[in-house]
Amino acid sequence: MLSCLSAEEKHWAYMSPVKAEVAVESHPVDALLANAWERSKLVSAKLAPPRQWLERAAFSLTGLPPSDEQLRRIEATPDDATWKALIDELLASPAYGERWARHWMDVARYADTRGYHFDQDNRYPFAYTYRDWLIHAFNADLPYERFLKLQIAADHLVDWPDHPDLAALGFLTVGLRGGEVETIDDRVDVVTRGFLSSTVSCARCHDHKTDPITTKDYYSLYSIFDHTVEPEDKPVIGKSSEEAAFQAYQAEVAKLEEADRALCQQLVDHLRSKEAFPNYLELAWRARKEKWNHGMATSEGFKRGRLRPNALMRWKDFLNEHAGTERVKRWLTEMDAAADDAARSALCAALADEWIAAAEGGELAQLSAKGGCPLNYGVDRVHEFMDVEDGNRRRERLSAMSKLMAEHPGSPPRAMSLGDAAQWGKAVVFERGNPANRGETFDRQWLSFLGGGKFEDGKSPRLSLAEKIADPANPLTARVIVNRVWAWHFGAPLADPGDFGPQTPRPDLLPLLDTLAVAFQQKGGSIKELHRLLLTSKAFRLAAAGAAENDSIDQANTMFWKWNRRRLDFETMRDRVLATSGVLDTRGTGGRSVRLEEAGSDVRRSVYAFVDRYTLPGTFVSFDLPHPDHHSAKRVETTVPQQALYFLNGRLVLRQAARLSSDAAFKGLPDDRRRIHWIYQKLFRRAPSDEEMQVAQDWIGSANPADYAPPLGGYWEVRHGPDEGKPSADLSPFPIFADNVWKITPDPSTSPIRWLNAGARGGHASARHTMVMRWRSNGAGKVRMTGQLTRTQKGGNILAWRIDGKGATLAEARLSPDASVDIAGTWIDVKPGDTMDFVLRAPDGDACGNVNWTLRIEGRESESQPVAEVGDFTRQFPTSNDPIPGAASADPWADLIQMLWASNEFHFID
Amino acid sequence: MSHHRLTANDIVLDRRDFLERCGMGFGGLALGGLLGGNASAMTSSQPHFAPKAKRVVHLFMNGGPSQVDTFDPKPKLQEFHGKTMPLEGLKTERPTGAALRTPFKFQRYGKSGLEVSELFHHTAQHADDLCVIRSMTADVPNHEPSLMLMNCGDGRLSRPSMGSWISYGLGSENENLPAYVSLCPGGMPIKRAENWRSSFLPGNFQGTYLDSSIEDVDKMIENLRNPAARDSRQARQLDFLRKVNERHIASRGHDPQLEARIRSFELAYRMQSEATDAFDVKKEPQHVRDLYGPGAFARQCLMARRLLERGVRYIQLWHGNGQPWDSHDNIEDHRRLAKECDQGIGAFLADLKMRGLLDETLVLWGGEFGRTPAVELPQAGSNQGVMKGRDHNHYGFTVWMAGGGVKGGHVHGATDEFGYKAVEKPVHVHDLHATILHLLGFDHEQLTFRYSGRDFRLTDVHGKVVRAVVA
Repeated sequence: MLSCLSAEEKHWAYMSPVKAEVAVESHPVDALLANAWERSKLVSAKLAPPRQWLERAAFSLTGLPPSDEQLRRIEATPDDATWKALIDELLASPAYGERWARHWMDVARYADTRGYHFDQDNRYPFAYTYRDWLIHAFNADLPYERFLKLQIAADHLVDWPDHPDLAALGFLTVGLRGGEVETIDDRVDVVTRGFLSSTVSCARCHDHKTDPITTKDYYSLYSIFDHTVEPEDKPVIGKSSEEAAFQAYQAEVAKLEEADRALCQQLVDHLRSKEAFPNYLELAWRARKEKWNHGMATSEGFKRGRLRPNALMRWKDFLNEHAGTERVKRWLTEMDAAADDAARSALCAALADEWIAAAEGGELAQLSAKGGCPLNYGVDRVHEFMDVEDGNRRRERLSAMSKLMAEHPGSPPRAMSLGDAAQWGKAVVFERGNPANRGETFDRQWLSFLGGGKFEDGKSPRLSLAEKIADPANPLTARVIVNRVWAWHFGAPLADPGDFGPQTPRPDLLPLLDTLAVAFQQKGGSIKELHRLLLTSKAFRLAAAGAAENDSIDQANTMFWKWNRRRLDFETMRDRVLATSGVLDTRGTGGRSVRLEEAGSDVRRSVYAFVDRYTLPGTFVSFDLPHPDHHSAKRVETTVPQQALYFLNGRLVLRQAARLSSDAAFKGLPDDRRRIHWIYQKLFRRAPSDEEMQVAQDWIGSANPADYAPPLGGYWEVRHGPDEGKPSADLSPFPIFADNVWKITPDPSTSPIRWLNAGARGGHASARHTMVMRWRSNGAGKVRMTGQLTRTQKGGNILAWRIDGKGATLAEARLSPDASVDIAGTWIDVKPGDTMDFVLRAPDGDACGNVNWTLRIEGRESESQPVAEVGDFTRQFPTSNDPIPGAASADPWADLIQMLWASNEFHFID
Repeated sequence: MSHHRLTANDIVLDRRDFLERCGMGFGGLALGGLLGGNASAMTSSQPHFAPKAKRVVHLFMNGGPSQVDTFDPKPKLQEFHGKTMPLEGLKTERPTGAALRTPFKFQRYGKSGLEVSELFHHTAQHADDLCVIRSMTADVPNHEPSLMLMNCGDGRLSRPSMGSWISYGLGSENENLPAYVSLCPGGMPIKRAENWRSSFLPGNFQGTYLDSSIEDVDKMIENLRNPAARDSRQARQLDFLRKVNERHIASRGHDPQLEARIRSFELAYRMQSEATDAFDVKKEPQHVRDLYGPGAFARQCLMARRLLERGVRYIQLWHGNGQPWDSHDNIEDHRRLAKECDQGIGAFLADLKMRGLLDETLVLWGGEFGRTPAVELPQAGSNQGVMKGRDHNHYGFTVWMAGGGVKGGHVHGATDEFGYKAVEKPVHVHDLHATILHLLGFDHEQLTFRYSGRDFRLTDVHGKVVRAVVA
């Protein structure tokens, strides 16, 4: 009775996992699930077709579709040997590490930026080295105990100072920087929730409300991360790809460093200069007498030619500290006795001269040698005296350095490492979480709910912490990772991955979780062995539909009696689109992060996405990427119209559909049937059914060519040429776009074509010259140009304007000074490529002032449509002479591919 | 009542049955939408009894506005300013000290003589429409659980938000727009999308979040348009997609995930034109835009009116990114915050009244909790040397409702003489939820959803309808 009670009192997750008895010949997953089904009166679903096993395994293990050859093998011989061989093949693929690194990046709240960073570059230039380390670690099947320990204490576990494994410490350092205290809290949180599914951070202000976690537990860990330092010069853990690029990078770095050194040198020189030094002395004397604070020093120092307040205050204190020294004492007495400002200035100038020229060994020279003397501050620490403006310039250079490290092709990879502080102090509780309110100091201890006890003397407590978590006797660690891996394969966890505390009741499938945890430990913490164990179970191969009577008992499928049909997550979805379009480059792993909104990133897998935690791209939000400010225990899955809009209008989807439909092999196919077959094979790795073939054929056959004509619309060019009094072919682009206008030379007043310039809203004509705003149509229809012209100068020459279209003049008139007129040309028919020009002339001379304009094109594609605006010069104002592509040629085949990518079959793995 | 004991599968079945009765497949329904038909009759569920309100607008002052500086005047604070209040055992998040008087003037408004501070002068012009509950209580003095409680009825567990429950209960009046929209300028509140999650309810009942600070509608809703694609071309594409998906689902039985995704395309297609129109406040005449005033909050109030007119069920207007109303350091900051939203709220109420929309629209104003009448004490990182701010307070705070069948010019409940704790007719957040559902025609104990063997509801095992506020 008593033992029964105490067993109840002890929380399940705080007791060591015990392996359930399972018959040797049966698979433990299946045997234990069968027990649970029997108890709950659930009926198992049937096995899914072998093809589906492989699709599941490929997406689950590598995040990419299986190959045709692999599919053929499993369909031809769906036996255990083939199945196991295929699992091994998938595990051996480098894509495996990419897929599983991304899972862990959710746990590790990975991002490429630190969050809000005032006016500085907020990037982590080397976060990617942590991501690449994860990819490598999964691919190499690093034993979990090693994987874990390196991420907490790699600096204590590697044998040389630039070891690549130092990158593992990114686990601690890629978090959100919300101030020192919050950064430490973040690290406590990611370690305890990440490895232990325990909410230790809840004990920051008071003992945990529901769990046996004390503030001492929290502040023990807090103090460990409070005693870390991140090196300014991060260890270089690899080579730049090219030596030349590396040299160029080094040169850039040297330039920035030199600029920094020069600024510091200037400040050092300033402190000793004939102009400033006497002023420092005089104001320091006053500051000492009048007990100035920093604000006072700032304002008074500024009046004397930007004396640095920190240096002034240092002088004040330094004079205080050495007021008894003979020469200083004499000067102070003289200053006090001096009759007026002039006398005091002279005294200060004299002392300054004497001090700078002081002979070695003399009293003043001895003072200069003291660390606290402002004259002793060299380039190494003069930044302590920098004022706000110096600081701004310094931050600009730090930003430039960060940009250089992040972007320069020769910047070598570095580890976001950290190390222990030189001195270890005791742990201290902040009362009610308030750092200003330091409570009891105490000896750092291991988490009390896992046994507690002091950390080992003479060893880094951070290393001890890592060892305690990795300790095979720790009841949480193996369960937590096994539970995660299970959920990543099966779509639902065995226990709430967010909380293994007493709030989470004993899971129904605890025997399964425990058996897997023990097996995992017995296999040396091999994640790949765990995959093999899970994937060879029948449970992994069940059909997604099962007996309807189960729904009344366990509709949510918490007992895994059927396969959880799941939508591909964002990364797998995007990768599958790109893999099937053929653009994805899977040849190498690793490298700097890429911005997914840039078309050039289409060749890279989604794991390489640049994750900006400060402004998370809308696509990430729409597709449920967890916000990387915090550890994420599991992804939420939503279905929102924004996801559908991505497939209807998203640039990537449109771009890739156009790409695939213009593939030479596809284009070369002789008929629609073969084309449809080719597309289904590419996208789904299967042939279309007869019905699918028919639907697609009918659809392609009934495409209306009018739907694919580019819509009426166009773009603008700004041109100029000699005034021939009629539509002219002799037109040139402007050479310069600057100050928001097109012009001939930087200063229009001295330009050979004097005054000529054109902006979005207005510009200036030039004598006997034309300025042309040319609209070029992308589509076909009836159009005319309308607008308004306003002269801004009262007197001067009369100007002239004209509207030309297809070589004919459609309207023209004179434009008097002070005029404001509406203009309109006649309607013309255009087809793609046709143009319509607005021409501004100054036939009588260019004493005219600016002309403001609005220019619009209105039109319709056919008589049955209403007239609409199809162009607006101001809104579409061109700021570049680069050729503007016409509307991409649309193609029903691209549309068909796009919709197959959008289809449920593409997104759900059965 | 059995109608509302639905499971995810039933929803699909209901819809399928209906479509089959009408001789249409999924394509048929969507085609109705494409041709401009209003499909509301197909999806709107029926409430349990005659509703007073059909739509809800929640003006969410995230961060927690102070009641004693807005809608709950406490002259006693003036008297005790700087002195310890004779109250005990009211722990909040951070250390607090003596009483802190309000720096804002209160005045009586309207026939009802409702007392409102100068901060909400514009809102107070509608005093006779406001039903002020001064005795609200929540569970804890922390933002995250309180946001979850106010939005989803549970501080800790993943539960569907009120907007999701209401969308589920009432369906959509306009198939072309999401039933539930959350607008927030310049980012998201803390807890982000969890505030409008659908949790175990089907995904299509989740709130659609949009950043209302973006003025260009095409940019506000990412991927809203493909300028090169004609409507007729996209309609044909969607038609093809529907056929492909129909074949797919036919061989797989009912799966709400597959269904929801099919519907999300129908919605997205129609959103393209309807949303462009609905969210474009530039289409309002200048005098109307002037009435609402400048700024992002005013713009989203105007958007809300346009959305209400188009049948959107549930709209949340968040004050801003993070938790703007969290005035720990200096309560004077409330002046700026009120200035950002007061004119827009006043204009919104006036506009709804003028258009006859207020009767059927329940407007709710409030935060996740209120603030202490006691001053917050300084600590590192906050409150350095200012000492004019207030801490979180879940013991007593104020929300108000207007329209949608509530008593106007009415005050319900009271806090103690300092405004610290609700002492008269306390209304817990669960009670507020029960009351809102009641106004919408639902018995909060009957609006349930069966999930994993249990009937869940917004109010869990709590909640009493506050009949005294119902007109």
